[in-house]
Amino acid sequence: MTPERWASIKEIFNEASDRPAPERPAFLDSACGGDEPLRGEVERLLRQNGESLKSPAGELLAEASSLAGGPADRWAPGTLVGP
Amino acid sequence: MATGEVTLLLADMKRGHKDALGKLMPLVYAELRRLAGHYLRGERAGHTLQPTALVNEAFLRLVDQDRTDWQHRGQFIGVAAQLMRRILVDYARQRAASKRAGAAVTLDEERLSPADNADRTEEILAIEEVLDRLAEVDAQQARIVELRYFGGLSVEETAGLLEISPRTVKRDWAMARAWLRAELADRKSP
Repeated sequence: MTPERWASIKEIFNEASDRPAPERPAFLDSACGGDEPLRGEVERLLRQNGESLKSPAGELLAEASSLAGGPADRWAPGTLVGP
Repeated sequence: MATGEVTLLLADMKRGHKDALGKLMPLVYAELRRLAGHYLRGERAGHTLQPTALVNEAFLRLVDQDRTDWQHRGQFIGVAAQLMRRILVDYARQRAASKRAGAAVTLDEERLSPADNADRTEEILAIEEVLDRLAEVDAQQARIVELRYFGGLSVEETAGLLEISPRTVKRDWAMARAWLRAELADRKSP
């Protein structure tokens, strides 16, 4: 997957999800222009569209933070972290 | 804790000093953990921790409020979200490992049903695994997932922090969610 490919999938996904479901097949026909893998990927995402994904932070962070020996123990002064 | 130290490190980070983040992380981590522990001890039944409130409290405690600005606050929240990601992933790894080993789980199981807990652990680990792939093709979208999913930030808070419109956050989050769900579904039934 390249960033350009991802950008195309995103654009078509966004436009398709703005349309009512019955109009989507015709829209995908024209937007994907016969690129079946592209269409397949957009359809795969559209099938999951609207699924929720709740952050686990609220329910698990306090408990997770109470574990002994967290990441701080790995960071001796001078350790390189981050990108 | 000298509030001046964290304030200076945030300023260094803004100026592009690479080692500032490394020095900042353990300080912020220790404070988040301390506050979360404090929260656990004083917890009332049915009361959910608000991640944003926790981060705000850490910011108020660690940063000299007279010598700071909104950009520092944004940087601080970004660092806190990265740390929350690590804390949650480490936790999920430990849970998965102890489950594999068949060891008695000593952590508090009462807050969630065992099934929910196992699903959540699996979800956290799977998202951690695919999020780096998303970062390679769309760094901003991956940041949105980090802030929303691991950091617990709202759409508006995420938009403010990344200096983009709430509409963009909503769209990118909706698509990322669909993609993450699709990836998780494919793992369960390849």
